[in-house]
Amino acid sequence: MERELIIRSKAGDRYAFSELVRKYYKRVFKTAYLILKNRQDAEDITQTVFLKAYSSITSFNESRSFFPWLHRITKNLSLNLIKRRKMAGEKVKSMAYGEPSIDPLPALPEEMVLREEESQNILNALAELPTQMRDILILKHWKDCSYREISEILSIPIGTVMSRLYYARKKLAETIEETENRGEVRKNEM
Amino acid sequence: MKCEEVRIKINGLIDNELAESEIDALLDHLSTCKSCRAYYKELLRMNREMLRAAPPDPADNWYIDFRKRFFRKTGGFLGRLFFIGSYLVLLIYSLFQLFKAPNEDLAIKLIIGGIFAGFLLLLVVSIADRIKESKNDRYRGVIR
Ligand SMILES: [Zn+2]
Repeated sequence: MERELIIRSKAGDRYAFSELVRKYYKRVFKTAYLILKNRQDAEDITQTVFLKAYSSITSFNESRSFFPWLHRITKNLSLNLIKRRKMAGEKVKSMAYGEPSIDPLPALPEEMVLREEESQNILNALAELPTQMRDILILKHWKDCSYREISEILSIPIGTVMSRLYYARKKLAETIEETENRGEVRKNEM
Repeated sequence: MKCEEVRIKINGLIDNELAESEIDALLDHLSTCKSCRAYYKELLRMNREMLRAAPPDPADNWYIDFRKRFFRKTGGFLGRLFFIGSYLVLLIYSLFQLFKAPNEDLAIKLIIGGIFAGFLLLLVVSIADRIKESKNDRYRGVIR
């Protein structure tokens, strides 16, 4: 059980902790990848996230869900990396996902842009959604979060997660249809 | 149940977040309402597409590499502990032998004792500094 693995990790049991890593590393990687936009950085940060999590696991309250805690560490470390690089004068290709103050349309990783048309439509539509809706859809579909995890990450009551997803999915479907129609019109005009 | 209420719950259904009792009521409605059935199908289709558009997974060997590094770190720590510990024991032992030796000059004993005391002091200060630093360090435990 997860709670037991956390308690054992707190006591310094590295085997228990590495089981937690096995369970969560793909989701942590995806979180970092969406901010950093490249595999290498995201893989490095994922490692850093777990080492940091291990060194401060005693401060984690095991009555809460584990992923929201990892999610926060991942976001902080990834954004710090971008900030440090910017200060060092390196060119950062694109800014963080869902940071409208910096970049209203979240640039997607190049690797993800070169997808088949259907995926492309959904990605375009996602980029046009209001941040709040986009965030909850990404948490659910890409980061594989349960409603409880979503409610902790977004600090909203668990009872509102379902209806928020309903509205976000509705808006997404509408937006996909709109962008598809726009594409059709363009094709017909040619 | 009104259709909109039902549709909100259909979201819970495909996300696996409904209780048994809720599912039964939902299925009852679905068996009679064509448009909610269409909504359900559409939602499943969108789910699949979202999944297909998802970001990639990390490299296959990421986890294996992580484990290797993670466990080697413990080995490194124990190694250093043994190395430095034994070195200190050796120093103290030889110092003790030196002071015990009856025919050695007192001046030599004091000089070597002084060097050793200075070394020990520096060691203690530098360890104390590192502990203080790592307490303030937000990236504690992070490999740089
Ligand atoms: Zn209905």
